[in-house]
Amino acid sequence: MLKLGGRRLQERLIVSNLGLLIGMIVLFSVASPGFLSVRGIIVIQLTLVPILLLAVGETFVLMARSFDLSIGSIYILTSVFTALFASQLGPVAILVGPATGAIFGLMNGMVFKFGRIPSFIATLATMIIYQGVAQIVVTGQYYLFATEESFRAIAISFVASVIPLMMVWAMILTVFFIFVALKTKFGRVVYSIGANYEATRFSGINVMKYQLAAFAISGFLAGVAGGLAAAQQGGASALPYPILLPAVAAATIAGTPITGGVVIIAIYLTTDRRVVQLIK
Amino acid sequence: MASSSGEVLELTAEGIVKRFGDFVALDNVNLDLRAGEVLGVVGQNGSGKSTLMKVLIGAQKPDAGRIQLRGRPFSPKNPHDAESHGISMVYQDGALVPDLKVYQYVYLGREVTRGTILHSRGMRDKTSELLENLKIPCSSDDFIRDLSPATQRMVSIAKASLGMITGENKSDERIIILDEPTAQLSSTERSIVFDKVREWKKRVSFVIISHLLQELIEISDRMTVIRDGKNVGTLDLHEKSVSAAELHKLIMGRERRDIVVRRNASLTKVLEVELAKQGVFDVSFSLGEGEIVGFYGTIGSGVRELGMALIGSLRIDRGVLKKGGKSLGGSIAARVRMGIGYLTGDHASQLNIEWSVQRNISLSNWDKILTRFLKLAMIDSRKERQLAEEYMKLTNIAPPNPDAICMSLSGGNKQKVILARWLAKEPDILVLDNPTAGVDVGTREEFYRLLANSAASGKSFILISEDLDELSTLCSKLHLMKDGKIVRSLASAALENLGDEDIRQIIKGL
Repeated sequence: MLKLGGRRLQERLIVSNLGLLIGMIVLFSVASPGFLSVRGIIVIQLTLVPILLLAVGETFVLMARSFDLSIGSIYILTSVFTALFASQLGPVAILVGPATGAIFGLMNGMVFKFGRIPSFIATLATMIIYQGVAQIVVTGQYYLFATEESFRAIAISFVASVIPLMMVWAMILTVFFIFVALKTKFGRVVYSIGANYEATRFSGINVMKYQLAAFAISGFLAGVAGGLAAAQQGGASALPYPILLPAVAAATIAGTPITGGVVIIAIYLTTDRRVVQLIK
Repeated sequence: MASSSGEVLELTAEGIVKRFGDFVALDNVNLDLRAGEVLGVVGQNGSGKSTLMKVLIGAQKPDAGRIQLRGRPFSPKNPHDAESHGISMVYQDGALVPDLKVYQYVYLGREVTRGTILHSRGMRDKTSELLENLKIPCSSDDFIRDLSPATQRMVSIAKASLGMITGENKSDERIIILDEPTAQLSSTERSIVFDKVREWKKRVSFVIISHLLQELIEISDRMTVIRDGKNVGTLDLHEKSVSAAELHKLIMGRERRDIVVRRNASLTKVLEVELAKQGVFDVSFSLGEGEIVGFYGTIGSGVRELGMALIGSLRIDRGVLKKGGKSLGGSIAARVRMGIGYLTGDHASQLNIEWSVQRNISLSNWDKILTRFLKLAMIDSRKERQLAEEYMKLTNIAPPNPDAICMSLSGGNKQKVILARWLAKEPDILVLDNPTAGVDVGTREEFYRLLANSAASGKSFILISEDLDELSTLCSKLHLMKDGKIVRSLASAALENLGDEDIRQIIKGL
């Protein structure tokens, strides 16, 4: 019963967020002319992309009833790595983010699984470690530039002159991973691990494989976000960026298993930020 | 004994009617409980006995009928109200809180405070007094999770009788309703709990719901049978004794069907077992194709641990496990892939309780419901539906709705969902650990029929059970275990000729 109530709660949250979002858009498009300008819409999307990608990844970890606190740090670290390789690799450097992100995610999973440390604590530790590594990598330089045009174009070419390409990548990945979560064996098993670990084990499933994979996906998507961020900004710094909370909030409010609700919540949280900036 | 349960009526319920929509759960049901007696209530799952109990404790409002408590009209508003009148219920799953200490649990929901601060010492002392009074072998500072299942059960009964013992209750008479008090217990633990019930019934009247007819006959003074929401009758066991078979007939409304099991041991060996774990078990045996081999042993005999070792959830020290001549890998996943399954009566560790029946059946049967595209293993919802429908029909799960959430099913049906999962998987060997614990007689019969059919088609089973009747009905060979060793093996001929009583004697003599 708890779960059913929970789902209804989640639906209510998504619907009320959608309502608030529409209300906010109507109000501010009247009150602040800059809000619905082309530039305003682009800014919202650029902020939205990493939050959405991280939220989708976090959802897989939440589905397995674990927690990943390190995605914010993976986002920073992968953007640093991507910027580091951009001058040599050119556009191909965009793949550095997802690749290293998946490895960091896998490492989270291994610390959690082989170290038998609760995931909340394990990823709290790796969160600090990844952030620290990022700082070490950029030591001596305040900012790593990656200004090559062909590299940057992956993120900030425009479709229909208002949609940055990175938004398109984010939506494709979101739809794909929602599909994976809801329609494949993988998604079902990850969710089953969260529903009843013992039952999943006794049904003959190699539980560890799936738990590691859930963390790897979380890291992978944080890495995609990090790579795109480096391309969008034309470089990266190791400064902490407050993205963990909105991403985890979007994942938690939208709930498990994943639905399109996560997109609505992520847009709401992003618009919310933008509105606060405008008020200032 | 008989005369001690006098004529004083503690509680009477007359003409209770309860409808849920068009469904009549209780149709003019009567029940009366005398002071100081144990009243057994039996019936199949869904016969209405749980609803009746809920009416008695105020968790359900009856549509008609009246209840009298010690001669006065009584209509409890809710379980709390019933409790303040001296009626409380101990639920099947015991709503135990593992992380609390015994005294915290006993006082849960009625904590004693001084101002706003918990009066722990007072509660601890009162609990110690209560435990001593009832001779329960634990301390008020023990954690619930550290107690044996039998002691846990006793503690939850103690919690229900708290008011009586400490004198906080206005009325010092007390009625305790026990719902399947022994479902997850071993036979030794059962007798410990029942000894306590016998001891306490001088002060407390008990209503006990159980599917274990034999033990209920042994402990009850009278027994009320309910079938399809109607009274079948109430038997006074002191006037006339009743056998489990007769009771079975009253509950089902028909004779017990014979289960036909092919008893001749097969020649093809499918599994050879030689397993040892220091201080737990050290056994070797083999399993033939289409054979059902039984294991009997009390807690501590290592028999349940053996079951867990067979599926790979318990590490062993040394040994070989060969299926069709091939050694088996160590993990559960590897063993399931090699055609071994494991099912226990404890469905908490087997079911995703918040999931639908369909999804629970799918959980081991991916090869039957997946389509592959671009290397993605996608779930074909049509195939998934078909699989669920096919096996729900075979196992007769009620309601026959694949989307029903498992939580809403009765205990017996939950059990059948797990069986359906494994029957669909068709493992060559299925290890069953007390598969019918807490399952009613009708469902049990169906369960046996399914196992017998499956064995006849060449599947093999290892049946670990505390239920001798179950073992002698199904098994072609029965191994008796004690202190981790097989101390005696009875072949099919012996099982056919010996009655349950003879086997009980053999076990006693071990």
